[in-house]
Amino acid sequence: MTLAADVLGPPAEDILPPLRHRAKARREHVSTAMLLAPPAIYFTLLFVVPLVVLLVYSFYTYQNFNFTAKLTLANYTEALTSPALRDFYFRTLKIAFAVSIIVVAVSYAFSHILMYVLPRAKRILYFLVLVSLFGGYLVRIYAWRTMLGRDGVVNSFLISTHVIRSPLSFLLNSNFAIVIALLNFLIPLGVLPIFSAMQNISPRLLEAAEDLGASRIRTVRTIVLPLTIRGIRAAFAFCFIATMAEWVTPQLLGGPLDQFVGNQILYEFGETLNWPLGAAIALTLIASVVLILGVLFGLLRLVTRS
Amino acid sequence: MRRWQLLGITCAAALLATACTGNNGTTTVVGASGSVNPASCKGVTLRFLGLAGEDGKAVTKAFQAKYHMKISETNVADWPTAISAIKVGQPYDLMTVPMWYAQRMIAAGVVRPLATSKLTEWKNIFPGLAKNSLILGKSGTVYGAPIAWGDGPFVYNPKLVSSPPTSLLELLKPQWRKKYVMFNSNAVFDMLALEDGYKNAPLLTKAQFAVVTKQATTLVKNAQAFTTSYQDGTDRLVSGDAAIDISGWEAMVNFAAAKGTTLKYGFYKADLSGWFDNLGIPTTATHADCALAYINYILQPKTEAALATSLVSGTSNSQAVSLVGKSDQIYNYSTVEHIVTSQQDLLQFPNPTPPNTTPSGIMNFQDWNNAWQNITAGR
Repeated sequence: MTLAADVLGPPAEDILPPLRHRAKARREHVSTAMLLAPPAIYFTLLFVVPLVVLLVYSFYTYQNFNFTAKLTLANYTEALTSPALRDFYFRTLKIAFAVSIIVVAVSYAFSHILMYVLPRAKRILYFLVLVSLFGGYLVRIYAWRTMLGRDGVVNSFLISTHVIRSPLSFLLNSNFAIVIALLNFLIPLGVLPIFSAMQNISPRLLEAAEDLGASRIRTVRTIVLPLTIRGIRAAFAFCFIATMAEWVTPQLLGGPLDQFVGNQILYEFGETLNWPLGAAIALTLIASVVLILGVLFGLLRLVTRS
Repeated sequence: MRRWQLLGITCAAALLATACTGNNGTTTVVGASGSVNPASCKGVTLRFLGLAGEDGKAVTKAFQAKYHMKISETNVADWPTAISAIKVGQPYDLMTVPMWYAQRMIAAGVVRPLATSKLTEWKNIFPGLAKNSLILGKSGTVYGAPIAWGDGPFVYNPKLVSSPPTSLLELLKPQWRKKYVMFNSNAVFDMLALEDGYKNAPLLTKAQFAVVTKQATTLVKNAQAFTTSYQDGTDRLVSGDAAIDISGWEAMVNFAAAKGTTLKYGFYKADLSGWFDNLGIPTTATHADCALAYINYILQPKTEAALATSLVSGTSNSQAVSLVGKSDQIYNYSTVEHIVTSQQDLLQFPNPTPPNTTPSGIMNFQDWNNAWQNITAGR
């Protein structure tokens, strides 16, 4: 305590009754609650409640195009053991991994170019990346259909330049078309976290590495990469989750044998009206995505530590 | 509030929501009490959910103007979407009830029974349609008013197809590979079974089903894509990405004409199946009586004739046949009349899927689903 305090005693606010403190604390609580309420209500109503509804439905019994509240585990048994559903899961998983890896690689290279190769143009280029997110996803899917179609831009160009004689059929209604459309949609979402992570790296660290004679590749490997690992993780998770949950792109751009597990969920909910099984497949999908990402990130943590 | 309390409230809300979505709304007979008087519907907007054109908006302008009624249409991409929309409680007053999904819609509590006694033209609706078991509930109650019917056509782009197929089995040949599109629906088993001459379809024995499944596997493998709706099928044919939509609708020809492209339709020689569509009143309807009045107007001979012309389909009202222009009659009513006039010929409009419970040795709906799932999984 200072001399003044010794002479004058504790400050007036400290000796005021605790009532004032409590009122202040209550006000803070109220304002915090008011600030948090809208997102909390939004999250609860549009995410938690539907998820619990889905969970409840997944235990219902399906009978004659309807379902009853007779609880059963049969839907989970079906979702986990059906060989056909397993094929849908693996098909989706394969595309999700491919898309996520490509997105991370392209986004990383693009962000690196923005930050270190074309730093003067980075704001414009970053803005262009953001602008590409403005277009509606369905509009883009139909645009890809026009471009990749039999008489589309790509085929017309290749035919007019005599590269091919007849239209390439694998461009549309194929895994190729699905992957292209997903990359187009997800690369901007991959760039955002990786670019943000790169921006947080102090230029002094890079200068120090350069002064100590590290090559550019070594600098990236030992400094940039470890410091952007969170961005990479976020980009991968974004893409992986988005692709695993896809059903529109395979439906509109894929062939009959390119449908994802999401399409199967739609089929169960709609065509057979088997909502309990559809819910069980959906929840199994969510659980498997969480599990896969958990294992992957755990392994990544082990690798980066070692 | 403690976390567990919050979690408890959330779960309670979710359970309440579950209970609410499980509630299929009212299933009382529409028009059972009181009279159906369109005059009391002044200023009402009827919300329609279903196939483009089947709302009848284009042929009911006089009715709409007289009673200041409006029709707002939501054209569905597919039937599962339409059923789901009603199941989760979205309010609609009218919906297309296609024969193929009618029993599923009735079982799922999606549509209400109709008081046909209030429909002045009901007596003139072809009995093959009006008394068809597909639109009847267990107690014989009617759940849909037939408005159009037709043969099961395929639709093709004549620029890409010089000689259209005569049989669905023809499409299994390599020359048709990646040239056609189809719906993601196990109803194709029924079409193939009829091509194979299995008159008992969709009640197939294990051996018959094995044959059909093998053919369907090739059919799906050779298909270019699954279409999501008739509009989607039309778009794919118009763009030239597909040459044939194997499960088309004659109205697609009109959809394409509006886009400046000529499409044609044809029929398989085996005469696989007929179709008929109905107007039903969803369980979420808030203007059910007005919807019934509207249906009553649609069924009037003049309106029905106009609707048949605009949909390139058959009319369901026997009194409307003479009102359909000769050039607009895509069916020779004198020769195909038995299809819709005779109840004995209900096989012409068979349910394309088997029931959930079938006699021993006959494949049921779940068997069909499992087989279809295996095919689309690429097994």
